[in-house]
Amino acid sequence: MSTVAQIVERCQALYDDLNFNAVKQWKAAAAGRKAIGYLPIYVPREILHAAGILPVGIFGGGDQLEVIQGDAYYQSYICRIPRSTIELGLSGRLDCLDGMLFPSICDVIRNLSGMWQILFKDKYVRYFDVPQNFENVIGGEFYVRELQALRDDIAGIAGKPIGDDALRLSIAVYNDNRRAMRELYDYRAHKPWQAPTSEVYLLARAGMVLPPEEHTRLIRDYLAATDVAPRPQRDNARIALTGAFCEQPPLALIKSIEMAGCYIVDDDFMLVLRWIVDDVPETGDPLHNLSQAFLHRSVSTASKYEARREEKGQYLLRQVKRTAAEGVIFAAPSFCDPALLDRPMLLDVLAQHKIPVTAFKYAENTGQMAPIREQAGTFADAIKLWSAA
Amino acid sequence: MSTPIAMPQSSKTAAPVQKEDAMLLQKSLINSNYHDLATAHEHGRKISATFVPGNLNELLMCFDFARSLPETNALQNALRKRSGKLIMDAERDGHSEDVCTYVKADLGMMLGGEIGPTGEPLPRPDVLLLSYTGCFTFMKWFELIRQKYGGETVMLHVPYQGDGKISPSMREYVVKQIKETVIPTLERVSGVKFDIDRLREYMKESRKAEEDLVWVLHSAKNRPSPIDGYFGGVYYLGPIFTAFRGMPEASEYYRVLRAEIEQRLAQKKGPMTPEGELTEERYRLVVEGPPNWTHFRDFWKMFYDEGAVVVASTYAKVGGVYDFGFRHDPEHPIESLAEYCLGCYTNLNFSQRIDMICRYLDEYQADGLLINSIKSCNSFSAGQLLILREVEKRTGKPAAFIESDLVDPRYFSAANIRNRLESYFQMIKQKRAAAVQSAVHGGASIH
Amino acid sequence: MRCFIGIDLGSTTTKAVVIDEQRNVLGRGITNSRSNYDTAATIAKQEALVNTRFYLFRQALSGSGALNGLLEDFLAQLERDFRLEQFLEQFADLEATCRRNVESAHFGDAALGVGGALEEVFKRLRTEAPALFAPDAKRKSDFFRDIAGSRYLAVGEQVAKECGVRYDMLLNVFDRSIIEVENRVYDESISRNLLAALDRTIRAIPDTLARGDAIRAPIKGVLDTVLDEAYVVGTGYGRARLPFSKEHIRSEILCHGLGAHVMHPATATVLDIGGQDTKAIQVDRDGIVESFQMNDRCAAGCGRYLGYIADEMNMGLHELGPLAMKWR
Repeated sequence: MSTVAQIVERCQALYDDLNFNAVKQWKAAAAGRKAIGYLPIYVPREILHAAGILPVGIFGGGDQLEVIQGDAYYQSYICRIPRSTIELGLSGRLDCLDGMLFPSICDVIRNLSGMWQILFKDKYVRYFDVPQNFENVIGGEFYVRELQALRDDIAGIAGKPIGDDALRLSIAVYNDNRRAMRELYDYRAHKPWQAPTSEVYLLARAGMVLPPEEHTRLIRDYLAATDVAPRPQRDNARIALTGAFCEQPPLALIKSIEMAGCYIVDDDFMLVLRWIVDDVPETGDPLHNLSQAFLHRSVSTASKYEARREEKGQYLLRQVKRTAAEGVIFAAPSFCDPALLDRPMLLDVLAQHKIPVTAFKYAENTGQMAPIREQAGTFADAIKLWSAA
Repeated sequence: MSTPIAMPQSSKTAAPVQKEDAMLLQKSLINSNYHDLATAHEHGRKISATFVPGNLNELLMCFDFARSLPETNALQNALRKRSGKLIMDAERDGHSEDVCTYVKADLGMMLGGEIGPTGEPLPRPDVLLLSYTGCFTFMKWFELIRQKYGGETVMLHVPYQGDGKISPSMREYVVKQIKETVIPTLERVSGVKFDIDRLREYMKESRKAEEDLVWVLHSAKNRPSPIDGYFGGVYYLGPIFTAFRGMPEASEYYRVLRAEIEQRLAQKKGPMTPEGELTEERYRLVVEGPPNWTHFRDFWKMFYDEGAVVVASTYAKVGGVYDFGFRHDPEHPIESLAEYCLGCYTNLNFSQRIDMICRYLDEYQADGLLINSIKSCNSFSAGQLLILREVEKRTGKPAAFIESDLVDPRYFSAANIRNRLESYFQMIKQKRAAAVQSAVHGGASIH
Repeated sequence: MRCFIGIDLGSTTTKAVVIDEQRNVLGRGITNSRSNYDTAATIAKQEALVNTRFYLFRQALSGSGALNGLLEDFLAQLERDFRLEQFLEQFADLEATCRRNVESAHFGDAALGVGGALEEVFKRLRTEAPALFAPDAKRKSDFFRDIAGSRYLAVGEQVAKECGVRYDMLLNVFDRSIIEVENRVYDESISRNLLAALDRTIRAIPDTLARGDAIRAPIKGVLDTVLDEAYVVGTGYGRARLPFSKEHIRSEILCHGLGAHVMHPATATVLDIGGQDTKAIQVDRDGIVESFQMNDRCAAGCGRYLGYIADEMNMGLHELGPLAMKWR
């Protein structure tokens, strides 16, 4: 059994590797293997998996990638993730991918799908639209058709049809992965000192390049390992972090928040891993089940329309209560329309419920951590000193 | 026919702003609509708000709504030099400096009470028809208004043409939403029962207006062009993009406009500018991107001072693409509404946009492309640098790039923009002279 | 003779060039753009015309053979002496202006003391002036404002201490006076200064004394030659302020492109790192601009920033480049 350090080290290596060697190795291990990349925030990976294809989450280039060519595609008032993604593409680092999926998250990523079609003419590119109408016979049926279209495309790439049985099996695999993620997040909420977010984050990132079965094992190994290795508890403030669902903050930023006296007990990093909040039925029509899960059993986030006014912000509120968070930190990438437009509404709801909030912006290559520590530290202190004990 | 406003010649007063009948007509339409909004509740009518892309005006008319378009409210405030303050009010209220300034101008206006851009009351809408077409920000805009002020909101999700075409699935989805969520909600809020024949009648009017509008847009293919398809074009689009498509008043407007332009064409006249007719057309341009509203006149002047006419623009298609054949179809009204929404410019994919621009450069015999990159608008702006390079590659014509914003005056730097424009015009002139030279020498050389 | 002039009115410096009908560069001039574009244009043009005179001097003198072997040293000395004459003229103007400004300065009781200190400062500056233009003198800048300013600051500080007068008052007088002075144009005195410089130079190089007439004649001949400004073209940010019609004004992008092509016909791309913006210009085989991109948002890496760095390192801007080339 691996130790915590070994697992974390492995995850760190996967996270640092911008050449996606893990993907290349997986492909090389057997003939005819394919991999398809996807951008945040959610794609139904089950469909790819059922075709024997490895889904690979592309979350930008982080703070170790120097963007040279990518900047020639964007004006100054656009976030960094599309630049570094183009950089990854143009520098050949994504050559191991046979296609890219661009979910409907915002206009920048939406337009990037079209740019990708022009820049990489020989790769499969699909803009994947999710419904903003959540009625079964309207949005639900549209989504089933979208899923079917994706299924047909992926079958074409795989060179063979994707049967319902294969899909049901893949759903089971991902159900297990989602369960493991829930276990991980629940564990962290209960004992944040045993599962620092800087480690949990790396585990989640590992899920972007590993096959789901392996990732599930890794999560459970980590939980087992860390549970028997007691770590010191600290008198930290418990906070929920939100807004970082697309362009990711540098790992150093997450560490800085923790070092400043916070336990991050909930977050929205890598939403794709926990998009569906409980098990998708493993019997019956798989596409119908995936559609239903998306419509009714998924998380709330900025890119998703909130059909009812009363519901706006309630998901976040419930998360705060469930994880016993004492405050919320909004950390949004600069220029991020979804996060920044949503923020005033969420702040409003939290204020009504007297939940302390602080907010800042970052970029995936933010280098100055001192201001983050200042702000997070002050926030943690304020919570400790002034919240009703 | 043109009725110039006669004013005494005086060196002290500013020169009269030249307007034609169609311009005056459209101004009175806009003002009458604001008046309509101000008095709607008194007359027992409800108020709707929706967006220019995916504007289901004929449908809203069926329910006797007084119709507000927050984008045009924001730009009206900008034209009246009020948007700067409104934006800062919104930022003080907690909205990020990074987000769309239309939204902030609108929210800033609402913070100040129920007063519209003309100073008349603009009551809060009773229903927000969230036509989610071509722009993510729209979704958040109406969520924000709903959050703060209440009001019924109904989502119409218009899927993006990711593959550059409208699939039957997309069409079916939009039609179903219109039939099963939008119409029932509008009925409930307005208290008026839906009558599909009424919709058909309005669409018949829409077709007339669309025919005339397209004729006017196409007139720019002539040399000289009798219209400016961007600055002048903004006045031509007002009625059809906003609260008037489907109304006989709008059809009448386009009839008058077409007659005016027909006459200009016959007389080989250039477009009308605020300072009079443009008599010497020196440069023909295609423009991509929305205009700047806070410095609209100053920006336009930089063009007509150099004899530059915009013969075609993509912005003129943001509220609907009519010049490639689409017309509202009274025989299939709901399907037609869906088709209309799905085809709006900002809902087209990247390749379609590039194709449109290249086609315009060719069909309108343009000298080059100018991209006005708007800070607020990621939908237009993200990727424009690639559009620029692709268009240059495909057409061989030069492209220029300037940056400004919709309604935040802080993001318009006249000196920088003028410098880039002047350099661009001179570049075109230089290339022309060189082409002539080489043609002359090429023809003269024997060996 | 017919000559053609180009003026580039930039944000930091204004440059001028004089060309003859065969496209030979006769002279170049540069000055700081200051707060007044009109003056900057005039002075830059003047400098270029002076530079042209020196070019013609060289031609005339080498043609006449009057200075065999000594030509380069002579011309170098003449130029230094001319600069000195110019400097002294402007310097005298500065002194007079400063005196006037002391009287109107509201220094109260201190006025008398400041006036006295001022006189001492100028006395010392006048004495050291020729050394500033000695053959091996090192300067961070050739602009009057910079030379006079740095010396005034240094000497002023000393004198203020010695005289027990407030340094900031002396500075105040300078600040108010320099703007007036540097915006004055001394075009009437070019010939006079050149002739005065000629006298100095002949005195300074004893070998030339004997050939005095053989030297003066060609020089006077050049001074008497009318330089007919057949055509002037302006460019740069300040070009709208240039006193000629739009037909004579071109954007700097076109000028840089075509100019680079004329100097290096194989040019494909020109990078202009200006005072406050950066431009990338692509030209075709004929020097016609194909496309351009500008960054006029942020001056990082532009001249203004490099100027600050040079100041921080106590160097002249023109020394940064050579130092950078010595990297290992």
